[in-house]
Amino acid sequence: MSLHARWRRARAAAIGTVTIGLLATACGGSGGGSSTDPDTLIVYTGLAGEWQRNYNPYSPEAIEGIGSIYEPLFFFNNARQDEPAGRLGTEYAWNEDGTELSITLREDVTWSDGEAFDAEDVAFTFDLIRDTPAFNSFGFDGTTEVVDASHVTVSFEDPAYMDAPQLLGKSPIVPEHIWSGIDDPETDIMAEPVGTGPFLLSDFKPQAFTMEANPDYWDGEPELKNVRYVALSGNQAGADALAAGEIDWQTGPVPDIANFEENHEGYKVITIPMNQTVLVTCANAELGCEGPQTDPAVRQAIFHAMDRETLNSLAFQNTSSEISPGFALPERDAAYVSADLENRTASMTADTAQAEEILEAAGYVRGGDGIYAKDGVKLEMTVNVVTGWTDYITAVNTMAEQLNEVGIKLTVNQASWNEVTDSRNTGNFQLAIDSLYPGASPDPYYIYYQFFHSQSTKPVGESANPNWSRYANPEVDAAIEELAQLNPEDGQEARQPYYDTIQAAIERDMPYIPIMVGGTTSEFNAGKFSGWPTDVNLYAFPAVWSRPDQAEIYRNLKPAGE
Amino acid sequence: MTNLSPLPGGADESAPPVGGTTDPIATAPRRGRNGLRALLPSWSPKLGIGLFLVLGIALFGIVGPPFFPNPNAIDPIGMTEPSGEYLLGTTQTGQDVLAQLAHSTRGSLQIGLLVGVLATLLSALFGIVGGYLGGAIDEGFSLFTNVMLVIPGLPLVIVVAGFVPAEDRGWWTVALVLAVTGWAAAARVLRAQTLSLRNRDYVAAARVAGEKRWRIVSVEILPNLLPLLASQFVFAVIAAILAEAGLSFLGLGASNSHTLGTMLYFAQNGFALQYEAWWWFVPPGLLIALFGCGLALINFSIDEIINPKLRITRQVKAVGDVAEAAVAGHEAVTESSPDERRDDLVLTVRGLNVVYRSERPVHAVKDVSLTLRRGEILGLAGESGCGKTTLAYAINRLHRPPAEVTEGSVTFHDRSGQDIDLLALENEELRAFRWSKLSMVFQGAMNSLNPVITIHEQLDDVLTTHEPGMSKEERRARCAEVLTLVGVDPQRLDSFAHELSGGMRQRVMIAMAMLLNPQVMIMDEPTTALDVVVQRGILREIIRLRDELGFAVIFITHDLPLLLELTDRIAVMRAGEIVEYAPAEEIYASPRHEYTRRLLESFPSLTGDRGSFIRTGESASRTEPPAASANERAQP
Amino acid sequence: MRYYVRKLGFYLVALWAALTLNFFIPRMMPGNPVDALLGKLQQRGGQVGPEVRESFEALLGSDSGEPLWNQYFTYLGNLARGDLGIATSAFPAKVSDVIGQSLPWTVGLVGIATLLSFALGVVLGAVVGWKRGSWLDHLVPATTVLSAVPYFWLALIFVLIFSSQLGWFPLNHGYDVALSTGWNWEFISSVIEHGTLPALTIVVSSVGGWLLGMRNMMVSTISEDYILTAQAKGLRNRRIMSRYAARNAVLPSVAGFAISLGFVVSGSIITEQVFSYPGIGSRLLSAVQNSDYALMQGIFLVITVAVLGANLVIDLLYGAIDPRTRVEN
Repeated sequence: MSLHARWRRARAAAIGTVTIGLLATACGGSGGGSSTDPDTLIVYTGLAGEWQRNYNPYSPEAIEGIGSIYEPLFFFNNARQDEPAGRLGTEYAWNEDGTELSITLREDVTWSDGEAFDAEDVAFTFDLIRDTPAFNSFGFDGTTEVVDASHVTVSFEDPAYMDAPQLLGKSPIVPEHIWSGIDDPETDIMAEPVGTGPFLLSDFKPQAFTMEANPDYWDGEPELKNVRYVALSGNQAGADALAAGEIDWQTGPVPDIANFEENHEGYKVITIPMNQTVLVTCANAELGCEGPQTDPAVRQAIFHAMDRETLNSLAFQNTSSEISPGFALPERDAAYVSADLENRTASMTADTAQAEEILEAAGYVRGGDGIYAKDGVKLEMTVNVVTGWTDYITAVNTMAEQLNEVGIKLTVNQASWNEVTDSRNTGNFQLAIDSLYPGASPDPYYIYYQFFHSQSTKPVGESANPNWSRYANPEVDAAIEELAQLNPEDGQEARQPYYDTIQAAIERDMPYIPIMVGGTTSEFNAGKFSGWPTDVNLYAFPAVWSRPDQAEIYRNLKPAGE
Repeated sequence: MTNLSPLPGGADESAPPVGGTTDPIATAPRRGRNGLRALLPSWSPKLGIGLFLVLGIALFGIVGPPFFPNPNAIDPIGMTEPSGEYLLGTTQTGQDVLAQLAHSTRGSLQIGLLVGVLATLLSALFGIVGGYLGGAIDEGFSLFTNVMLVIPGLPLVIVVAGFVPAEDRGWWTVALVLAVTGWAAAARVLRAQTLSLRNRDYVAAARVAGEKRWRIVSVEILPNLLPLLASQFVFAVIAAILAEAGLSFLGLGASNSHTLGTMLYFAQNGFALQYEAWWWFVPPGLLIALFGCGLALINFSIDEIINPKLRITRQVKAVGDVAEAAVAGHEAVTESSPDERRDDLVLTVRGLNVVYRSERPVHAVKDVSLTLRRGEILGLAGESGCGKTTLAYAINRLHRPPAEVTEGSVTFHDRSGQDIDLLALENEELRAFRWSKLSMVFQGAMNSLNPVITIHEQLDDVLTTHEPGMSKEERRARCAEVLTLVGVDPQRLDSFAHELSGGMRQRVMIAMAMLLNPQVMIMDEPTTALDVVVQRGILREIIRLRDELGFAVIFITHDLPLLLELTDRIAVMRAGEIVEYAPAEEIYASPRHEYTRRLLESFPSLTGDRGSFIRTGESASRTEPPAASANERAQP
Repeated sequence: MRYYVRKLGFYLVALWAALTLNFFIPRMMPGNPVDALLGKLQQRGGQVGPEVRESFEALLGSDSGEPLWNQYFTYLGNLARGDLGIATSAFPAKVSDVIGQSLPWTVGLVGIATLLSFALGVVLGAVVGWKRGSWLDHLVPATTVLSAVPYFWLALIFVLIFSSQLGWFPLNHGYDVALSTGWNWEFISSVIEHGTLPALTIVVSSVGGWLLGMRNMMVSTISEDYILTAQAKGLRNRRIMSRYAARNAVLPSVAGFAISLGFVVSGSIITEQVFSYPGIGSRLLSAVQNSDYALMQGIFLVITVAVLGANLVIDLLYGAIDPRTRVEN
């Protein structure tokens, strides 16, 4: 199948949905509360503290730039099963065995300093990633060849299908003519970034920086003229500023989400299930884990004893949604959810009978105090939670009460972020509440590869990242490796058996006990700007901190006053 | 020291005061083994409210928790307003706010108490021991104290928590950090106080007597520091509770325990403010505020023990208003009628009565009448506490409440022919009158000079106030002139009081008194503290100046023989009354009153032997102004 | 002279001891800066391999293999050269740049507010002490109660009332972010407008301590003989109050002020949180949360130097305000 043809179709669809989005929001609001410049979108990312100038898109502390100033080749929509959309690239294709990637580039694109963009820039960027360990977060080892000004090929030793979203979608292209002169790209902050993206940096202040529309953008100057990123001290300040109409888009919790749209005229709320909230368990006794949670029966019992509805309403303002024990997102990845799973999704209410049955079948006996024990060891565990993460704290406190009903004692240990992270990485914990973050494209493969493959774990005492539960199952490892050999674009039939294997295994072993899929909530001013993503038109993941999704949304926004 | 003030005299500022808002207790007299009663705060409404608040809240925290349901119990009803079931409503997760409040109060009290105890112990150890031992240990201790002053508490909270196993953690880890980082400032204050105490006579005496060090510290020094320690303890408790709340706000508080800080933290993160859920956000903060307020009120009472001057007696009026006209209703300045006029008189005191209006009123000056002629030196003799200083101050209306002129008149017969009724002068008239017509030389010149500004400034002050027309150069010249008059090198103008010897200071005071050529000068024991030679010199100076300048002098002393040499007439005072008033020769030749005779016999003459009368005059003193602070403190 | 040398030596030793503690305390914290940095990288996708970790360890100069003692001496050496290292929480910015960017705001807001509070407290304390027994006495418990209120609680309520409800003051930031920074009146007035409420909260909550201390000293001083002398001299009350009573009574407060300077930085954390105000406090907080040793050390250095420096200056200058100490020492 020709990529080209597929591509055009996807684009047409995208345009169609944008129109729907426009209609949807047009009815939404009039005369939103913001008193500021109607051309300027004011956003708050939810981060606490001031901005430290850094527009190096590969720096871990880059404050902005991916997608907006520097563009990747394609856009992979993580929020739904879309085809990749062309940005600096127009199409790409793999060879038969997945070792060579051919990319066609867009022509007539210029850098914001006037220089022309061409294949050399792409090759330079890819080589830079490969040769700079600090930039190479996904182990890229391909060799890039420039075919002509608008074509490059990247060749790999092994099939590299699964690296494509990261390489093509999350690796912004940087200008060779500037970056080749930089001695230490790792520590350069790119104070005056030059990119091809829809926006340019116009003003930086530690309290706020502003980007302006790029008049020479290859897709035409964006209708949104300015984006200002403000620095605030956290959620409370964000909520206050939002209430005062000082922010047009924030991703973060707000009070009374259910009635937010009523209370804030012109504003809309959207909640997207994305990060999967789990109880991470130190599950693998062979790698040194200690405690009752090393017994899968205990993990299963906890899974069944949770009353997720109560958790959702008390801790998460009902923004969480159902989770699948196979860790494919029930909505986005509906097609991937295995039919072999015992429970397609975790029950929203507690099944105490089943929890007790599982424990008793595994040889646990209820003691006089109502707590189960086996071989004299009581079912008592400590769950770590970061001090100050109140939703998680509420969740584990609530959970502790729920588990107490089925004879499992949970002790909540609040500790500093430093300590919780450290103990989680080194395996010196029993349970910890955390979330599994998604990969570079809407494919559960990345979750499996990152959190369940034994390659990304270490014995207790060493830093394991991010397979914190120290799960090691050869069957799962093999299935993940097989998946990496298959081209996702060849269709799902060939891949699904492996997904079935993995999901059945991790439901059985349950190294991460699924709680719910956490919702990422954004509040935005639909009265001031139109073109926002909606539930029916989720053209990008609507979180202002999610890059390059934010740039997709900026490209689509229009001042509502016009 | 003056016996006029109802409060004990000036502070001994031997050590530079250091740090803190707590008062130095330099003024506290020795508190021995039996002075412990003095350490108890006296009852006041402030103390009552303070105790009520603190005890009430403490009781709530100590006894309360078992009466309330589990504060962690989560109820799916979510956040609700106060109702019959939940008196203070519920949190976002349906937890009972009142139950949480009870448990949190307990948690915060525990932290406050532990930090209070630990920090006080640490500051006592490093402040008192270091201050007393001195030397290398003191250097080491104060080095350590200074370092601890700058140790940041924020990361220390995380560090200390990290060293404690998770299951053992709790409020006490935070308390530990707060104690470790919170004692240093208090130690500095304690050290300064100890330094000043160790130089006190009775401590030196104990040292000479060979008492053991620990005994001196625990018996002689510690009791005197107790009020200060108590005040620091109270302060540390408030500070700890506030600091824990602050840390909690940053998410670093006593996370696994219930404290008012963590409660506020959850309220704040649960958007209690944005929901306008006052029942969740307001009570914890208010409880901290009320508890802190109660402790602060108790602290006021402790401060009053540390520094009895802080006590406010009801009779005390604002100091600035002291000089209010005592007898109102008639003209202060009148032309004296010719027949009344006696050219040689400068001051007439008639039937003057001064009463200290304290709980047991004391009649300090009874029906005193005196006249002073121009150029005359009038001696006022009597033992300590007989009311002679009170009389002198009353003439110039310098007496402070509770002293009050109840009857009589003081008339100043001005050179210009005007009669000035001193007791009827308005504030501003009185101020202008003072020093220009009547100046004073006080006893204890040591403390009569402001220690922190130069002699010149203090002389100059008089001229700028009373002679605004003078230029800077003229004023400087005049200051130098009067200094020369009393035999002090004018170069001393730029000196500070502590740079002068006692005699020199007294000369400066006399020079100051002469600045405006007054017609009367009251000298209250001007030479008492000086050695005989210096005394002689100054007396001679006074007589010479009187001869040259022609002012009249009221010379107050207990030394009758000295007056015999110096004065024209002498008034002998006893228990507020003038018992004998006659020319000096007459008193010397034929003292009529028994008391005068005894007084004459008891003193050594300037050259002679000591008499039989004991200076303290205890036998004769029937009444004494209720001044001595120790007395007052001992009152139940 | 020997006295000054001794004092200077004393403070140098104190500085060294504080710096040493500042080196070791952060290192005893769980976690390390590289982990914190990698955590952020990871959230963006991808799996961070050992090469990436090594690369960042090299970049940060935090090669975990090196013995602590070597690190300590390197730290002292770098400090002597003024090199404070790289702030991992603002990678790759230099610690000195981060502090340089934030410190002026903290000094500007909290410093000025502390100074104001001190001045106001001392002046009010002097007046209240002077007019003892009048209605002014009620100021003492009133301000003390305000000092006993948790600062952030008070500040949050102030924000709710004066910013959110009444709209008298801006909600957050140190200036109107739409303006361009510069020494023009528009910007400066915006800075003043934004700083007023935070400064007010600081003053309100801290003035009580100064007031009480000054008032108590004032009351002690008033019974001194030289005050009586001054009254007998017929000086005006204002003059007696300021030149004779307050001038003497203020001495302990001045010494206390030096100590309080050290709390400017740590005290600013909460202010900056509540008001989203720029400054060094929020930097310290994020440094602590990200195990950013270098930035923590840098900020502690600022605190240490500020406190010890202020104490040294006060020690040395005490002679100027209290001439008696000149001879005693």
